[in-house]
Amino acid sequence: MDKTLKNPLTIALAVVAAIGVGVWIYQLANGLGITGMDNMTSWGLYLACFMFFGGVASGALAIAASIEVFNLDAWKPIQIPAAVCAIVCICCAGICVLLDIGGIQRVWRMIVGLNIESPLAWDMLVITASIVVDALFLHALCFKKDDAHRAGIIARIALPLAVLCVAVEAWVFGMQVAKEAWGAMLAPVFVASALDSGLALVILACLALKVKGLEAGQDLLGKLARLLSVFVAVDFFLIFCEIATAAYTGESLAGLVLTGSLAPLFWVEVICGLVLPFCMLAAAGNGKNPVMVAAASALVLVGVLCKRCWVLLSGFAFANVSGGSGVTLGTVAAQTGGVAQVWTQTGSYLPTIPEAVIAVAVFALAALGFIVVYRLLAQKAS
Amino acid sequence: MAKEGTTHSLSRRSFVKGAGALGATAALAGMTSTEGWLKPAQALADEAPAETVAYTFHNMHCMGNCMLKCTARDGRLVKVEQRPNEDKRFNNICLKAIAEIEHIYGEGRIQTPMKRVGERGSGEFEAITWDEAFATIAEQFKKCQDTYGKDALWIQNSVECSMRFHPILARVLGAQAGGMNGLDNGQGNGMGQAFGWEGIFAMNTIWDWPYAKTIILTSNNMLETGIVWARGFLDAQKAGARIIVVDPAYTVTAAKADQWVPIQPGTDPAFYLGMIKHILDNDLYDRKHVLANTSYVYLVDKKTGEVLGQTVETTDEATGEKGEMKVPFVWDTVTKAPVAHNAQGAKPALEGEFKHDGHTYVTQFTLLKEQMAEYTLDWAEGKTGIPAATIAQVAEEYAAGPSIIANGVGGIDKYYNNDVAGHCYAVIASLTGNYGKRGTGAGFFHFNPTPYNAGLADWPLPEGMNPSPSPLNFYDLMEKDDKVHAAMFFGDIPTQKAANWNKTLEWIDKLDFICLADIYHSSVADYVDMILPACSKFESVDEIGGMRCFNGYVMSNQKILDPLFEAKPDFYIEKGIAEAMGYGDLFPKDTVAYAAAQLENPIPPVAGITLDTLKENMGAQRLNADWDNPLGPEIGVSLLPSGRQEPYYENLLKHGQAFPQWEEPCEVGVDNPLRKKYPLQFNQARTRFRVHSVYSASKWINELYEPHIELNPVDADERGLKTGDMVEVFNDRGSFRVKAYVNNSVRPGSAFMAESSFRKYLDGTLMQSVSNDKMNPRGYELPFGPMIPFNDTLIEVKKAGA
Amino acid sequence: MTRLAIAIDQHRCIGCNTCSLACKMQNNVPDGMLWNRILTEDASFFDEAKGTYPNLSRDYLPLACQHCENPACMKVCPTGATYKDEMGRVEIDYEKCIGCRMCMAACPYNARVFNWNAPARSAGFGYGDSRVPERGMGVMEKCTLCKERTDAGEEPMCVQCCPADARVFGDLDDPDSEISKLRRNGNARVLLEEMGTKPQVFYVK
Repeated sequence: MDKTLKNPLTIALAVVAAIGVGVWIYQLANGLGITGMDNMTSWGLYLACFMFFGGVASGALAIAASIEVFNLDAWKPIQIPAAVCAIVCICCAGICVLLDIGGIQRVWRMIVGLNIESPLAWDMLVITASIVVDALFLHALCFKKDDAHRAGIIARIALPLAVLCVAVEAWVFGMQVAKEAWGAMLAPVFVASALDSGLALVILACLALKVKGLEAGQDLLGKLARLLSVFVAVDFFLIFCEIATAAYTGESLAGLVLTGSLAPLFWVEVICGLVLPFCMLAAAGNGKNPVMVAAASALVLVGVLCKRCWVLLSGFAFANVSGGSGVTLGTVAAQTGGVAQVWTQTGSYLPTIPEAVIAVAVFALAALGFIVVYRLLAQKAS
Repeated sequence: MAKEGTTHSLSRRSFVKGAGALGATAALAGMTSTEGWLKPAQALADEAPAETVAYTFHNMHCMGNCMLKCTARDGRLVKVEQRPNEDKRFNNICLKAIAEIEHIYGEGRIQTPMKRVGERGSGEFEAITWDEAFATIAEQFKKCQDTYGKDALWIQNSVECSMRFHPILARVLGAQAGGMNGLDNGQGNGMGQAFGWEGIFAMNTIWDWPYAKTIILTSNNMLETGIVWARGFLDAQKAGARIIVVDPAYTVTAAKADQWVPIQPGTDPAFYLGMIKHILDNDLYDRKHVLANTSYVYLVDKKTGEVLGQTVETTDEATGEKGEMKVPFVWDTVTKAPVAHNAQGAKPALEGEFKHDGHTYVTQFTLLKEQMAEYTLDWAEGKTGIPAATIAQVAEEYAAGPSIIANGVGGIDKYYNNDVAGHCYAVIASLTGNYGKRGTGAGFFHFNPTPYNAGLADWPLPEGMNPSPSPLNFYDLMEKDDKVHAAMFFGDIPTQKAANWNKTLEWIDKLDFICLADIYHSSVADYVDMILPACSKFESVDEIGGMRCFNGYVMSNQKILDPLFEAKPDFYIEKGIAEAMGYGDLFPKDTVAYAAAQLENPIPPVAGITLDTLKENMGAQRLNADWDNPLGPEIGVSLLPSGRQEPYYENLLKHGQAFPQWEEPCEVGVDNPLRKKYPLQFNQARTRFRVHSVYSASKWINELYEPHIELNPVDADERGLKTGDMVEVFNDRGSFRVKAYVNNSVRPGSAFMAESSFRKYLDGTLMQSVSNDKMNPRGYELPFGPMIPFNDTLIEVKKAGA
Repeated sequence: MTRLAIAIDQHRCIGCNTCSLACKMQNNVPDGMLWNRILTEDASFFDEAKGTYPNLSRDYLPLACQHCENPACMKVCPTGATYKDEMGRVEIDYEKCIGCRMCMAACPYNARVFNWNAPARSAGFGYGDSRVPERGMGVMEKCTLCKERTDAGEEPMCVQCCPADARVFGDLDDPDSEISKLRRNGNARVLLEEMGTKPQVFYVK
């Protein structure tokens, strides 16, 4: 094994990931009741992470594939890192879905009795397809450099697949008729988020890898920074459209997000995840300042994660058929408590420590996966 | 997993015997083992558990007495349903019977005999054996009775923890068995006398309601307190009856009514006095009925108020006993002289002042008009807060008839001036001819809704074996008792039949020994010297655990479960004590023997009903009666010897209440200076989630309801309170703590709380700490004695700890 | 065809919760959740009155699975665990449920409850009808229209126990059934019609 696999960062990531596995086993034994989810807010951090990773993966794949499809030779240095980001993140997206399954031991039912009408079925299919296509694409990029044609064909499949992937992820939520907050708008919003978060991660990864051409003042870094600022602007525009429409038509979403319980997530996203990075990217002056670009990219990722969270939770804020005392929660507290613990009328959610640990472990796993896959490929390819 | 029991109880599981315990452990293991984990669904039927079905009947103290079909599996109660019955009226169940599935095993259950080892109220008890319990009780009772006399022992049974056999112990020991209730009979005290009936439970039934055009439900929240008779209400509405609810609070019943009259608490008499005045002023009374069937034509001495009449000797047809009776006189417009009201050919004057033998007489009708003069609609509006036009409208609708006044026994019944309200109902019913005919009537309807009833035989005891008379009622003991030295209660009598808990506690403290038998760890349990676990309605030692005639049925408590934990049926608790005192042989051998004795030498309605036939008929059988006529015959205008309705109560002349007169409530009157200090009227009543305090410890019900005091937003805002705040409720008598809910259904200036919850659920405090215990002296002269004015209570509410 | 359904007369519903507990008992519903609950409409807690004293109103809305003709939950279920049966009921095959909670997000009526933990029963044992399958941790559940009872020709437990006769059970495909007559009467309404789920449960006043 390569030295890098034994460096402290890699080991630390492995330890965190291992702890996550341990906590997941604890979750399997005790049920999803160890999370902050309940009958009112029936999805939480795991699916927010699923959206996040799914988006990043698709964004990264789109970038990697576009370089091939549009012959952007100048961008070539970032292509393999981008494709590695894509495959690692799409796997993590799949893991997040599996973490959220209450009856993992019956998940084989999805293979033998798949209901093709279900967006979750589509999701399984596109994630699987993405993994396969990502792998083939990487293989072609790393080991079949001579056969330019091959990578080009795969890229032409990968690019629409990336878009489809984002759309399907959006449909898992957006096609739920019950949820007013998750409308048709979700798909374009998801595409925008995928692009900015995907690119942001690729930039971070490449800077971390000290990829050639991304040194300060290099043209490619400047291009990437400019592209990221465009993506951020598009993301901002779509969010603005959605919230402005909601506010104007008096949808409950607007109040919830602007001043309500989801406001912290929303404003962190808007200020730290959109406005601030946009300004920083502008200030970074055509990539003269890699640290600034890296910081802006990280902020974009944080912002998108916040957005995933508020978009997800906005769907669970209210019951469509409301009234006192509301919905029975079904939590451990509800099992043992009285009225105050059993019922709720509004969604309220905070991840528990075990749940957060598992989620953090997925991020650690993602980083670890990136390091391992990239090094292995680099080793093999050389 | 094991729930925390009462502070002193042994582990609940340790009492779960045999297969049940094994099954429970297995189930627990199954939740964590891989087997349970891998199999998401498993039909219980696969295990082919043994199921048994038996029949019982449920609570007496909500008056439902619902006949139930119960299924047990592996010795556990798993299903409670209505006993099948083609007569849908008696095919009843409510949430409380279903909640018993968990409740009887739940955290509130008293599991074993216990003696107190800590201070009173500390809740520190130690488990003892039944033998030790019986021996101690026998010793204490004997010491008490030997030292201070038989009547120094007080044994009072409530139906709450009873299998419904008539108690025997107090009779055998010659103990005091408690006097009058001080509950539920306030309006009845003022109403029955006019028609010659007891005044409480209406003589006709709720199934008469569809024949009425107007039904006034007053202090009546029957859709919560008489859930299983809701069909009577709803079907009457469907048949076109207009239902008007008079209540300060927007109750469930008020919300379903056609009209809600939101009245100032404690002013119901003023509302009805205003109606009487309006009826008189506008000739809305039924003149023909008044002349023929009422005492309004009787002559009354204008100076003394005495009814003019001739005393005649009477002979009781059955016993041959001699007696006296006054035959009232009327003014005969033909002979222009007073004649007996039933004199042939007499044409009585309805109104007028007549001189005779140097006295001036007026008819009762004239007197009523004079006395009602001040009770104008405007006056009534001033008192009640109800617009004059509304009072007039209700009066007009009621007078048009056929109409019913259906009172509940909460609300005004728990005020100082409750009999005046009942008396008013009698006056307006008798004025308008709304009593005794189809679709009319007055009284309490959501109870025993059948005209058919019968008594069952009692267990024979030697001649003269009776409880000592109780010259004092339970609520009197706190002020006046110097006799009682030891007491035993079956059920939480002390918090139910007395207000002002701190006074009750002083009395308890004075006793040498006090013992409680109950199913659940009720509020008083922490203050007694010994606690005994009683059985629920589902448990029995013998095949039949109890019997009663109610709702027109003879019903038996079949054995569904063996006694749970260490509990015993109340019968066996009584018998155990009696045996320890040497009186065991006076008791029936077992409860089957007691049940059989109840059916011996039956009166005709019970003829042919035996233990065997009951068993064949799912534990219950209808009385022999004309069931094809579910309404029964019309009850007739009066049961009095005169055959007339007599709403003029000569016996209350000295109280100025021969005709009803306005009297302020004793505490909540708007002019009471105490209102400055305690501005809120405290209303307590039953809800669907409780029968008194029972079900406080029901997990299933606690998932739906938590104890709380409700305040109008106006009052809550003034005090900076919001829903969910813990508050302290207090006045000079005491205080308790509970959660506050802010609800517009409560009248501004009032507070509402469901009666009642065990102290464990009120942060260790007792709700009756604040309630008013001042008894109306007039009540002692009324048939059912004075009523405890629970609702005639002023309080203040503040944030707990503030 | 058969389309079993329940009609609920909201005027006759007195909010007593007998049906909630009857359902809990019959179907062995664990602590902390209900298949069938009673809402006080436009209220923040049960029994709260709407309006300002004395101009008030209060309506109860019993709410459970609406057994939709076009069930949103069924469409999104990835394994076909949720299905519409030949009697027109929406049912769950617990063996197929993977606990993904797509159906829970899909149901506009919040009719579904999930076993987040091992089911707890303070009664200490499983109660109710022995024909009802047990559900373990990680499995979704909801009103089955008392499948086991209605299969045997009995009424659902909530209907049998309702002390106010507020519930009518029957077959909407039988034009002569009482429920079909109620459905035809003009004041029947379904909840959230705009969602297109076509509930079979409906309400009259």
